[in-house]
Amino acid sequence: MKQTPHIFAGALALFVALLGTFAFSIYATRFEQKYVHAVAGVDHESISGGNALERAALQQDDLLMIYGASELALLDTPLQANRFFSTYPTGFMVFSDATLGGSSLTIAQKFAALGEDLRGKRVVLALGPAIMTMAPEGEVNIRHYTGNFSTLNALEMAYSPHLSVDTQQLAAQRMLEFPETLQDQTFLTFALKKLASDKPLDRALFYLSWPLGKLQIAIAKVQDHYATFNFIRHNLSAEQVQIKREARDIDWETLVPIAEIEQIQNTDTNTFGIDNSQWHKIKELFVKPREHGSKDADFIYDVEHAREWEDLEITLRVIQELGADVVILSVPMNVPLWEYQGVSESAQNKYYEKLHAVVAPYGVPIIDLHEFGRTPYFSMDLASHTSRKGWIYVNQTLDAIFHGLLP
Amino acid sequence: MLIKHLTQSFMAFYHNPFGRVLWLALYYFAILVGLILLYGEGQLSSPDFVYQGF
Repeated sequence: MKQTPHIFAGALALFVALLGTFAFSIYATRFEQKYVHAVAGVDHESISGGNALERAALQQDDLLMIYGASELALLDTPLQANRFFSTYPTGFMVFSDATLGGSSLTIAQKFAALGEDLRGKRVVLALGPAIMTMAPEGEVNIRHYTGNFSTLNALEMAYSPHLSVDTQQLAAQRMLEFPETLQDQTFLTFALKKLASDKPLDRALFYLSWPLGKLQIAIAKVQDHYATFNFIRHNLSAEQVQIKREARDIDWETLVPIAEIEQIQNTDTNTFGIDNSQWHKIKELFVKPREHGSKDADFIYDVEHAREWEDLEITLRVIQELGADVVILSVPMNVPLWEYQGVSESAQNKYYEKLHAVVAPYGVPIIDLHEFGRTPYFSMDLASHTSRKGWIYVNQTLDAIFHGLLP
Repeated sequence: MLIKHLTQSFMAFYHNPFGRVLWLALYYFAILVGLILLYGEGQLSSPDFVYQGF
């Protein structure tokens, strides 16, 4: 100590700093557990790049996690699950991680990041046909992927000890196809490139980078706790922190016509049942009906070759390897609107056929809500975004999933 | 007078081996805290983007 005071003092300072960080992480974890029910009821997309809250939510017996995309996030309505169930009427509430522009590749990384915390946990993975049927090459829009990208989740995917190398390699190859997300991410780019390669030298370099990768993840996790801690402190009012639990029976059949009337009031700009908020975006498609079945071949080709299926397979591999109890909930095609576009119902059914064919090898149960394809006002547009009325059916399905009545 | 007294006390403490290590440890700790405050926040919120639909 006398000969090397700087080294000793530096080590002591580092030790105290690490101890402080460790203590903060433990405190923040307890803080998150305490307030996760309150966060479930508010918009928490601003911290969706982390996963501390998701870990906290997975520990709660009365929260049902939902992952998904705009199908369950676009319409701002009190009938959305995370508002509809906010008083725990049947004993649970939803913790929604559905985001605008979400996709299977983003969700695969989220699941991978949760690792062992996901094992055995019941989670709903909400899907929709929009990317497979409408996006160019059936691939997630690059801006949407970038907007949902999380460095922490990407690192966790690359350095997860719970996933097979094959799965990590497939994910890395896909992630490298979105270089916009890797700008200024030298280390992550290096890791993904080495992981994606089959060369033995690259593989060796990847394993050599493992300690640094784990260190980056540890730092990012503390940052995540700090961001979450700050979010809870600054975004929850005293009223929101008080969780009201009011048990009651839900009369689903009564709610459906009430929601339908509300939805009809919001479609008065057109005769197609398209929500007013979406009509101006797609009205050019509804000038004149196309001949019945005239677009079947194009539609079927798009569905068959959509790249989103590749990403869904990566997600399914992650689910299987982590042993998660996932239920896939797909929103239905809006059959009449697609028929107007020249796509017959039998061609539209290819979406369901492909969905079941991709998922079947992984044994993950699917609820595809196929039977609602012709239900008026279930979806509010061509992209199957759930309407007010649709939310009643979705909420009823979520209720059945939570209580083990489905699938 | 007070400043002189404080300076003398500090120098005496600093020339004690234990005291010197303690001061240095505080000095390094302050640097670490500064670095954490400057660069530690991270970027965990998603970048702003406009959902474009399909």
